[in-house]
Amino acid sequence: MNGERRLSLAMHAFPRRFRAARGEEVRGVVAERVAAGDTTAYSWRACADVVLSGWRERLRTRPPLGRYLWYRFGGCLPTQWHGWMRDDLDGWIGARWGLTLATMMNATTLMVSALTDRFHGPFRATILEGFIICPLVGMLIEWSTHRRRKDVLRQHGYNANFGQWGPPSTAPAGPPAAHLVWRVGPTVTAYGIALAVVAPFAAWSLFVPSFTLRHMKSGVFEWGREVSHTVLVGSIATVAAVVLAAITWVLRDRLVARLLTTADSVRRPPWPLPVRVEVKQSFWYSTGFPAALAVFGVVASMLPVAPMIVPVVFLSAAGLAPILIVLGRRAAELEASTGKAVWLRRTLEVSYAAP
Amino acid sequence: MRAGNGTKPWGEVATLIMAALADADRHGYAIVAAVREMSNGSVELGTGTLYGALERLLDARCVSAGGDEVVDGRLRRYYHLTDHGRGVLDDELTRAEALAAAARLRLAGGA
Repeated sequence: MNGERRLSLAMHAFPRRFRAARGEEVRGVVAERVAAGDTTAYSWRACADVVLSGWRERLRTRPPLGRYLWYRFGGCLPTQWHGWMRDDLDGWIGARWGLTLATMMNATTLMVSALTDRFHGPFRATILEGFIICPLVGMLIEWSTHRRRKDVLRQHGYNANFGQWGPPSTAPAGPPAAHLVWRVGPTVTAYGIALAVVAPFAAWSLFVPSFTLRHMKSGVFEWGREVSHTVLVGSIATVAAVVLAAITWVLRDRLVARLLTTADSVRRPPWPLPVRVEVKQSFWYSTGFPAALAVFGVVASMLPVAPMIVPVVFLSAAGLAPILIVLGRRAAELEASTGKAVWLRRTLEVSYAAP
Repeated sequence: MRAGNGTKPWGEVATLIMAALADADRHGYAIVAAVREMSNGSVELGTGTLYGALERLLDARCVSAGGDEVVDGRLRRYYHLTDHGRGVLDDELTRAEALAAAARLRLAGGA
């Protein structure tokens, strides 16, 4: 791990608001140390110093236990802890998403198990858990995260009209479009490829009861004898990804104009984000996807070749990466040339949806 | 110290930082260099320690953040010792001098 990367990781010990306000400055100081000949500026010891100071800062600026519990049970915090509160509302997004996804995937597995008779336990428990409990839990996590953020912000006198990527007046941590999209592009590519490799195994074992690993091996590795479904589908998926990438590259300017916008070009209505939008979103996240897969499971049990569509979808998704990378670059250029934060248009439009 | 509750943010590091800012506004690395010079090289502020202490001093309004500038692609933010900070530094130095004088007296008496 190189020194800069180590320092970046160590900086995460400091609260989010500190990193947003002073992250660049701290990196600047370390760079000046290096320029002045300090060979220990990126050392493990220097990074440990950053970590310790960061945690000390977190402890120093968090509300005391009584206030903390008061806040957790719906009370207001005095202004001196509002910085901490915003970190609390915006932080752990990854963990929350992870929890929702895990619940969702659990529901999917159980639904498919129930529908394809591959589950050997009590059938009623599977139905109850897969179709009712897991979707409900996932929906509640999603819904409560969105609701809580807005309720708490309103309760403390902040403008809660905007979502996670609100315009700068509501103090987001940084220019979202450029940074986020840059990260999403390579991630989607990596996930797409990884899932496309794993998907055939998962899909066949899940949807086709008679599947064994031996079938898969004979299909994939005995190249000289026959072109198996796996090879055929893999080739189609790769071609689809390349074609999609080529199309997005050709259309990049048009897509950038459609997808990106600066914050002040969007009107700011006074109404809050309607609750039903959040409920609808959370419902789809938690139930729509598993339900679609469950239907797919039924189809797959009747038509054994159907599971091979799964890797095609995943690998094709990797073809979306170029447009995300182009968007990220263009957003950064726009931010540099206009001096304004650039946003993904659709996110803002959803946030501004009229009741 | 918690922001605004009146508890002192001191320690040797905070005092050294305020002393470094007493004669001029300085940016992060300049504070590190000034502290090194004042202590004849015996105190080398770590970057984390520096910014932890600066946050405490900012919260206590002993120090204020001034203008930014970008030099060689690096962001520099200048810090200024406030009037309140000067008073606090003066009190702290007086206390340290009194402590040192008392200690010397005891040392001389014990010899």
